[in-house]
Amino acid sequence: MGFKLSKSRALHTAVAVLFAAVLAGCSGPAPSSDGDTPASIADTISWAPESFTLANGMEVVVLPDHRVPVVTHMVWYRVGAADEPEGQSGIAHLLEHLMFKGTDTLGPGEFSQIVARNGGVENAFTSFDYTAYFQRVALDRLELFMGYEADRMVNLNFPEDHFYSERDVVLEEIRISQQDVGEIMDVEMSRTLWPVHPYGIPIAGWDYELGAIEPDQVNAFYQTWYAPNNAILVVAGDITAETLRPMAERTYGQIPRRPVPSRARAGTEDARASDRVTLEHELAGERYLYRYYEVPSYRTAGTALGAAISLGVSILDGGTTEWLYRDLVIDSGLASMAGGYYWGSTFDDGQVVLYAVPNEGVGFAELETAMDEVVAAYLAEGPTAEQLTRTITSTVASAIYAQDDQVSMAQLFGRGLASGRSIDDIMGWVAAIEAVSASDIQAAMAGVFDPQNAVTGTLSPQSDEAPAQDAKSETTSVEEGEPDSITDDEDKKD
Amino acid sequence: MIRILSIALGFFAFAMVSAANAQEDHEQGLVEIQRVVSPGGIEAWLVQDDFVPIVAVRIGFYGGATRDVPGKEGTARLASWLYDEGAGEMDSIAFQNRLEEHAIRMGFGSGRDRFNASMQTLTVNLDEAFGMLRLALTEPRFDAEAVERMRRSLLSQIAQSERDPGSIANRTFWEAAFGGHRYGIPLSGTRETVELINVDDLRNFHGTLNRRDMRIGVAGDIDPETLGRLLDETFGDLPASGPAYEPQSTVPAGAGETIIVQSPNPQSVVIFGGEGIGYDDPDYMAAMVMNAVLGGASFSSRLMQVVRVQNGLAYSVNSSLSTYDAVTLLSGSVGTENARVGESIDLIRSEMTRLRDEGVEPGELEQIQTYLTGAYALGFDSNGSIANRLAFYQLEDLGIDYINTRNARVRAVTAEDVHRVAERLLRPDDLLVVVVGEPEGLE
Repeated sequence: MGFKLSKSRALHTAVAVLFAAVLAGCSGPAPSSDGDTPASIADTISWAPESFTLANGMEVVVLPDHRVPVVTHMVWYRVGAADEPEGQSGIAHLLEHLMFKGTDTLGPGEFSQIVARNGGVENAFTSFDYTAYFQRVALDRLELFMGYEADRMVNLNFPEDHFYSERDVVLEEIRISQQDVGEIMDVEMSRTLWPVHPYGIPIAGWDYELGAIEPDQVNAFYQTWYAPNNAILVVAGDITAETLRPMAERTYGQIPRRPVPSRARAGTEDARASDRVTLEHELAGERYLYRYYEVPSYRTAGTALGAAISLGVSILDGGTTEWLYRDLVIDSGLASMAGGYYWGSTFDDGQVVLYAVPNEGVGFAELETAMDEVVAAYLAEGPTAEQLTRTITSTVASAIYAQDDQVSMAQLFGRGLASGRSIDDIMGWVAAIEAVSASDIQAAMAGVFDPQNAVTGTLSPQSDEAPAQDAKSETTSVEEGEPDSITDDEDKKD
Repeated sequence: MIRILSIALGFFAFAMVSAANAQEDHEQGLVEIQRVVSPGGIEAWLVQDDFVPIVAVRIGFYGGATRDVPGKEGTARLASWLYDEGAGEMDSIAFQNRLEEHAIRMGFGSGRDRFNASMQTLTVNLDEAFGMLRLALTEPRFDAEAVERMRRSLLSQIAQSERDPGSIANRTFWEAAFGGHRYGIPLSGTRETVELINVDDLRNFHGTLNRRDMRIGVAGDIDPETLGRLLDETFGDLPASGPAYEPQSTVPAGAGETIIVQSPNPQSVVIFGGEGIGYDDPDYMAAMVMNAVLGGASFSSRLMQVVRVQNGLAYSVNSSLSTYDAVTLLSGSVGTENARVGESIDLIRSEMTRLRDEGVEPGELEQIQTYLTGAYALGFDSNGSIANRLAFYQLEDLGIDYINTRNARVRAVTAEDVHRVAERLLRPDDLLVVVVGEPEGLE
């Protein structure tokens, strides 16, 4: 569906983006039906996570998939960019990079060499609420990597010269995002929507703050947050909990628990100075209209309300047949693209984003009015029964499609747990989706589309007369697929 | 601070001993591919697995943007956006709703030499899903409303890509390298050519799709008999043959040139490249390993080590081999601060020179081979990626045994082989270089 205006927020250390986007919420119970014909497609979901907790408080989730003798090994820390000390934006992501730069006993890059020498692939990523590291390897190499991953959980020790060159690498990563006008605009929208809360600061940080961070600050951040009781081990693939448990006890289990701060972030209650962003930029080749709403996340709302928001926004987005797309693109011809999505996987409140690309000759004001009319009509009428059934079907199916990919499954549980949800929450998602009624959606949408809790923005090509604009002081995050749905590897019209 | 080193090292030693055997055992049966030929003679490669109750299908046709009529560039791409916008009795909305009601995922895309279709379905909806695929591929409607809507969307994307530094660099490279060839034309066409495309042009493009030029990969919860029946039902109505597909072989021009596109960005985007090597060349495997040493294997590659790790010049630097039907390329890219563009390009050239002149050390070669073989095996863990590969290997005519012999061939490459192809392919002074930004340090 066109041009992806969605965002998710994760920064990767390595170049290859190994992740397909996966649903933020997650999925399902595994009542295997013993009859021949399943009553609902949900009955064909066979997620079977096993979980246990080590004596030191480290949570462990095992997601069996015995098709090939391969495992995906991930460690998720419950710390991200939103937990950074004031004035040190980007430090969580910089630390993620430095985790590859050696321990007391391993040289810089040595762990990566060992991964490669054992035929594995690896990566790491940082978001607002978590930082995660992973390797994909043949099963017989798993405990080896668990040992090294446990090593860098407590013994990080990077040489100073590597610190400074890696900080330059991260600055280059920020510059990549400064060339993407969609990200530049997202930074402006987010900082306006969240003037106080750290979700208003890009994950990679402000370049002028990042460029001033010193090694002792990174070490202090590491000492504060990296501990087994603040981490989740997720292993997906050809293994069971019974086999994994002794391995986990021999590696991660050797690390003592220690105190970790609670995640208290600045509030969101402060009034916004403005609810408008107007940006002309030389990198824009088209005009774009955006609307960001602050809304509850799955964690802050609970799974039932989260599911209603997710379905409600999905129906409003309309794919290429309903609501926003139908009214703005097909029927009125005001826009060449329109849609919306819910970013609900966050620890604190999340966002709903609506967007549209005006056709030639259509003004922003006209398009914004039309967008508001679609929302108003949707609030008044709610979804039809057909729309609701269809969307529930495709959403529940995404839980089955997710099972086809170890990495998707591991991400789904890792992200959910690292963002403050429980395995029961995650497992209850399909049932919650199936239970959503049209009136649930209307009630949820009335809460979401609150004009007092929104920011509207317009992005346009730079007009010829305007003086060149200096956009160098802002940074933003790297896009990586939609947060709240599963996308196919063959995005059409993209 | 607790030391856990002794534990880690203990396992390390153990694992290294068993590593080689385990890996080779695993590869013996990386996947079991069945060649399915339908009663009507339509072939597909199948990897059957019922762990997840879904089926993934990937179909590739020879002929993509190179089929575009001169003056109507962008036709294949626009057409590919219309295959799920109405077919048979169903208009766009009816078609899309039907897909969603059955949770069927369907997509179409067009590249330089290929038109691709993909479909994934829950096994319970198998017949419905193949039926929808049949309609899309044999009875697309190209309704005027949908054509205009997709045309506006494509024009919008073109307008944005004209400002995007990465897109500008890519377009400039292909224009400079293949100016007189079909490959020199932007894949999506231009604003002017896209405005000129009409429904007849789209129908003419559709008329080129035929069974002779089609290759099919299938993976998931389906048996060969069912697949055979569905192949006939789905693709039986496509023409048996079509217009000749005759790529005009060429080589990239612009050797030794550096083209700078001034653009006010904090970072310069650099693309560099020259002629590569074809899949059918006896030295292809050696070249693949050589490229991995240079820049094709992420952190295991020299370019990443020198440009990023040692000098902090870039977040990403890479090289790659690509094989199109009419041309081969050895190319690469880097994004770096404007002030350090010259330094970055010099480092890349000197790494190419070093590899060409000195070849590779046996230890480094072995590490790259282990990386390449291990990473390859990891790519067969989902039905979607398996179906993609099955279609790809057929389109490139690599043989049904390729998947299960590829890693042995990678391991058979010697340091002498790598040095030989490095001398043949690495020409650091003959690169075509495109820089978008405000670069410094270029003579």
